[in-house]
Amino acid sequence: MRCQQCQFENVPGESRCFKCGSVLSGQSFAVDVHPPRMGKVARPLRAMFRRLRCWHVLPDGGIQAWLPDWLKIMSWNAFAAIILSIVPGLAHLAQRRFRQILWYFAGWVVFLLAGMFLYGSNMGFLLVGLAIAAHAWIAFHASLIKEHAEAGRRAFDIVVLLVLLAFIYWGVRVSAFRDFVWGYTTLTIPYQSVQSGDCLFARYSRARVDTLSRGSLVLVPLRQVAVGRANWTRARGEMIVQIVGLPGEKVGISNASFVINGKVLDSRRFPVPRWLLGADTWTIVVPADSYFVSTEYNVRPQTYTEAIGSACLAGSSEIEAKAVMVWFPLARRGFLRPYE
Amino acid sequence: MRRFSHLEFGDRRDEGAGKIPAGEEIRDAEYFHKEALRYWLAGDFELALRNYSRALEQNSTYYPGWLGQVLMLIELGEYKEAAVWVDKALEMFPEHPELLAAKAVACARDGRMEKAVAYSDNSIAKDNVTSLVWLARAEVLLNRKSNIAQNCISKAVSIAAGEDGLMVRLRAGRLLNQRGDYAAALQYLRAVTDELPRSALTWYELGCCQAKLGRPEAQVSFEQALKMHPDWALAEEALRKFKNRGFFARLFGR
Repeated sequence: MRCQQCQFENVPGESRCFKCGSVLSGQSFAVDVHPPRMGKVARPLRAMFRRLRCWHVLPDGGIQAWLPDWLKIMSWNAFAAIILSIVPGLAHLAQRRFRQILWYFAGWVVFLLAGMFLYGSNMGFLLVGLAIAAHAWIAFHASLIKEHAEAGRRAFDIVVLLVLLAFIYWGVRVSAFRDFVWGYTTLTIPYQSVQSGDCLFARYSRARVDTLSRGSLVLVPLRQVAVGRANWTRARGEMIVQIVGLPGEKVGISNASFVINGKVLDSRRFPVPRWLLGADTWTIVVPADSYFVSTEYNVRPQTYTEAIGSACLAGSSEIEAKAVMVWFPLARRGFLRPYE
Repeated sequence: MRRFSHLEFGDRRDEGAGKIPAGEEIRDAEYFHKEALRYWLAGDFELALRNYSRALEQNSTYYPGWLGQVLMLIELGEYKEAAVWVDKALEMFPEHPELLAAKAVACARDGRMEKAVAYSDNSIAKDNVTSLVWLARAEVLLNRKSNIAQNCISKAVSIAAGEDGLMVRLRAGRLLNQRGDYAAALQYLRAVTDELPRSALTWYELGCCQAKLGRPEAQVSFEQALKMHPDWALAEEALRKFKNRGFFARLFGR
């Protein structure tokens, strides 16, 4: 009795092959030959669970079948992969082919971290842009690379992904970092290692929670300074300035130093702006709900006196944020020192 | 009709036994296997499955019957049942590479990729690897988005010959069509339609492929499929959708 599967010659009368265990032909015996069938109710449920379990290996159908034809620009699987790719590499991770984009992912991480580190500079923006590009390529690679073979279509997909991701990054920046703001200062403060033109990192919440003490660097919108017939306008809308006088204090200048209620302040900690240095002796009482702030203006020394009231007094409600660290240049990056 | 015409008498029965009316085929397992293949090519998987069962009723050790049942269950989307049934078939034909490959396909379509890969690895490691095993391997690899799936399909087509080669090309075309490689699928399916012009399944698959590529010939293919298998709901639906596709689908060729 020869086995049909392995051709082994068995002893006559055997029902199964001695070598491979197959049923020998001619040894037909009673066996149920009708397979089990799936119930009608189970079909949609199983299809749903299958799709949830392994959406990326299934052929299109199901949800895509419900879509109108004009919406079928891409398959449902590609769409799902793009949605997952909002987190770079997640779609590949789900598809267990993360290794294919390992270097792109590494590039994205490097670009993003470097871009965040240098955020605010041209190089920082360039690096964030490169991170977005790497992210778009990962999303494209997750689904559309096989779906759209034509070069033009691929280029179109990448551009659309770039625009979408740029919006997403902008949204994340706005929502996650809503407490943070960058501002520039025109002051040079040796005590804080701050120089004119430095970019400082400020937080909105600190201006509301912390007590604003003398020496605090705060972000305020500078008002227009009008002196005589010449109108001097601010160089930027918002500027980091230093609080010198607190509400109710009497502020003046003597020997290139601020004088508060008759007490002379250290000029290294509270430098006097150049436009105030050539002035006559003056004294101003800070109103109850305002602060005396110092900042540089492009005002001629001969015409400053009338401008002090409008340029150096900032209302409590006008103070938007409190600076916490020097952001640029990198050589001076660091947290600000507290004033005693 | 006379009153006692249906009564059976010993002598008459003995005379009739063993005599086969001229022109009628012997309804053995082979016959039902052919019938099942015919229904499969017509796209009627339910009837094909029934015929495979009838083939096994004739001979429960008929291997193509077991394999056919499993493949039809997969075609019908009953993957769990197919896995159960292939286990039963494996009891009778242990370690059979085609059955293992069929189980790999059932697992892959059910989204159980680890099992699918394991069964495919097992099947491909056997000695007498057939084209069906290579096709199953290709399906598992396509699910993993592997680029070497195409090589497995080429291998399957190259080792299949004759009528079996046609079936393999049809399966390869269907596989590529399902997985979105329409251009490659079209080549296989065109070759098969030339050889099997009366197969509704082939015309339907060709139509699907052409529709995906935005080719107007798809309508003719669907109509051909409906001509071969009238009132086939799947083909009717595909034809209706192709005729009613929207502006953007026409613009983008999808």
